[in-house]
Amino acid sequence: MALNFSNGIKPNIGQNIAFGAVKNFFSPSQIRLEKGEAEYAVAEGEYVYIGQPLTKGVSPVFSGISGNVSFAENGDIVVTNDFKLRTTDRLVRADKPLSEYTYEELMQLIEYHGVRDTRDGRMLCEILSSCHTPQRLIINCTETDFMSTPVAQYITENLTPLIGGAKILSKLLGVNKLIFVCTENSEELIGLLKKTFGESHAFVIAVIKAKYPIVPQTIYSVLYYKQIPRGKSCEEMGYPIISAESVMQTYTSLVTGIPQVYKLMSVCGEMADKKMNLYIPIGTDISELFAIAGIKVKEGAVAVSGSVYSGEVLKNAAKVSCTTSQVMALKASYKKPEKCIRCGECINACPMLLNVQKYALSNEAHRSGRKYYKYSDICIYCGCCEYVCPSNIPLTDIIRRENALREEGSDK
Amino acid sequence: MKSEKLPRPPFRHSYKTSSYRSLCLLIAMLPVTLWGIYLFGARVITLMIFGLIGGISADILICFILSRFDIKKAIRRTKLLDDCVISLMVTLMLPASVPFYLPIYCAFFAIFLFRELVGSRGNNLLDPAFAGIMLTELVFAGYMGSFVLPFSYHNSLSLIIGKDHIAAAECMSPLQLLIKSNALYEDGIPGMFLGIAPGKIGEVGIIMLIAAAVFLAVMGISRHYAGMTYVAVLFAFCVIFPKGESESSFYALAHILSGSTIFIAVFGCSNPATTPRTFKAQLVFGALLALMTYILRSVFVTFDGAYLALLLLNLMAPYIDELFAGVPYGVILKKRKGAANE
Repeated sequence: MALNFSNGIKPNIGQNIAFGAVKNFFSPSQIRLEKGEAEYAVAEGEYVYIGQPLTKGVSPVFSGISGNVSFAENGDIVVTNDFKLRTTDRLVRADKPLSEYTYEELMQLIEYHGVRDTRDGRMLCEILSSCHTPQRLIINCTETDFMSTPVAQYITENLTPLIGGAKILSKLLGVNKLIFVCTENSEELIGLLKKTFGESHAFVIAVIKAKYPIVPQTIYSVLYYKQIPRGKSCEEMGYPIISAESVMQTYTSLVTGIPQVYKLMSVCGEMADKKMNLYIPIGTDISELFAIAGIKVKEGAVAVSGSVYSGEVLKNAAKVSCTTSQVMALKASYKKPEKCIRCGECINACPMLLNVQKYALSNEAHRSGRKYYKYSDICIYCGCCEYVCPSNIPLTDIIRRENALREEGSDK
Repeated sequence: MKSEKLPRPPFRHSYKTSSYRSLCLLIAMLPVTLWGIYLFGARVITLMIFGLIGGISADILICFILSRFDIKKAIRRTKLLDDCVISLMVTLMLPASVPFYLPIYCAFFAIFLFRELVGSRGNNLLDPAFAGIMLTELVFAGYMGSFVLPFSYHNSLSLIIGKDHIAAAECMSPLQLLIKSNALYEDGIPGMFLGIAPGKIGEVGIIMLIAAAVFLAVMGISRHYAGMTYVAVLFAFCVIFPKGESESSFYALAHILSGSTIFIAVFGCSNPATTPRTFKAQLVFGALLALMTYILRSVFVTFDGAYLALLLLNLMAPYIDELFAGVPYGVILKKRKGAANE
């Protein structure tokens, strides 16, 4: 059963996601990981394997490469790669059919394998720990924006972990319906899912327009023609939306025992000579990323992580984390902001239907202490408004600042 | 701006900058200008040059004052492309027989008064070009209502035209005929559509104006929702309430093709600063503009009713926008909430 939705998500600038196949693995010369508050499980000079825990505790940090620990101080762990790709033989995997596991046992396994580190993992744990049971689980098989990792492509190549992970999570959460959200240009994936599930009513394939940005709030509104009330999340409304990547990671962790040590991501940007999709160990230095992928970067480029519109500039010491979905080499040019010309492009571009123009105009009004626009906390910082602004006004920065000021005010 | 000091994560911007918009508008005005030159002679070129001089000098003057009499800063601050757009637009709204000082006067006040002093660029209450023209209409009503026959070819090099020369070619424009005596232009609708009719320089070339509209739509400058609604609703009004003895559809077509209707639909309704931004608000704006134009032309027998209507609607645009403002995601209207609770 497939649902088609005619209303889309604005603006129409995210169509034609076109990336090549995902290159399976790239091995960096070293990885740098943060141990957090946990204790070290390894010492300097010790040899570690892929999948070996480097810290103690219920949710340890794992090594994504094999080699010697060259540094283990001040909360950092650096592992130097020996390029032998040795996997530990002490992987914690499910040793009986998953259906025989109790809820607590599965929870422990998921937590151990690091899925909890991500937003989706945390969300799952919150749902599981609360008494509220959702009726359905929405699995986001779309690309958040047109520059992000080709999730649909990756799923098409590896469907088993998605299906397996979805079944495990539906059992865990006790949901009776799984909804796979795909963009209309992912025809191959839609075909595969339809073939897999047939006419089962427990599985729904929702096809939505490939427009930017596809975030939980907009997925919810497109699927159910309703808005999420202000200050609430999809999970609180009883519609948990989880990314396909997290679902796949859950399955991989439980079945193969290999924890979340790799990250699916894209390396691209207008200053890079080519785009590439990688499956790379977490902790890889950003400065090494382009070199190991064989991508030449032009002079004057800046590495930016996150979405193309709301990313952050990465310093040399930055590394790939479990939330990095792409790293882009972009031109570090700075366009001087001009005065707002009230063209209204930002209003039409905002997927959250905010009157963004008020921020542009209130930029000057800050000095006079005028009250802030009351809906600024709805902003998802997608940056659509900033992208289309002909006057180069840093709208996302203005809204961030407004929200910070608002929080300061509410604290007082 | 304070935000200049903040770190700027995104490094990408749409290519549609303010300059791009101005450039597209200039290109869009090119065919209309060429048609005006073909129709009314090389004198139009001279008028254009004088218009540009007036507009640019107004901008330089105000920038000179604002930058505390530093000429270098003043030149850096000028918005040349925007000046050119307003100056050319103003000149296109003048008859070909006006004295050469008139485009200078008109462009100067459009930029100095209506763009810079009343709100500054992008924050104008009234469309500067149209407001400048209305001011000229008030001061030089005689010149503005005097039209010449197409192909009367005034000498572009002469600074002063003899009154006899103008008088020999003088005639009534189709709109004047329509409003004053409810009569249709003798060459009929085809002549008006092809643009071979007396009138203001840029307003007669209907085909060129349509081409400009298509160009602006293709380049993503304007989707012409307000403009198309304006034309459609005005046509409907004229069909429903015709005047004179002519066929109602011909009467309606004459209203659309004569005077400033198409020019306003293409250029007047695409100024983002003085028109509403949302789709519904644009439709309402277009419909109200049509209603106002019809009333001013038919009831009050105002020859330049369309300009006046546009300026009145410009003032109303922020309120229309407010009326049709979208509700942000997650914000449920109290009424709806109440209904849902019931």
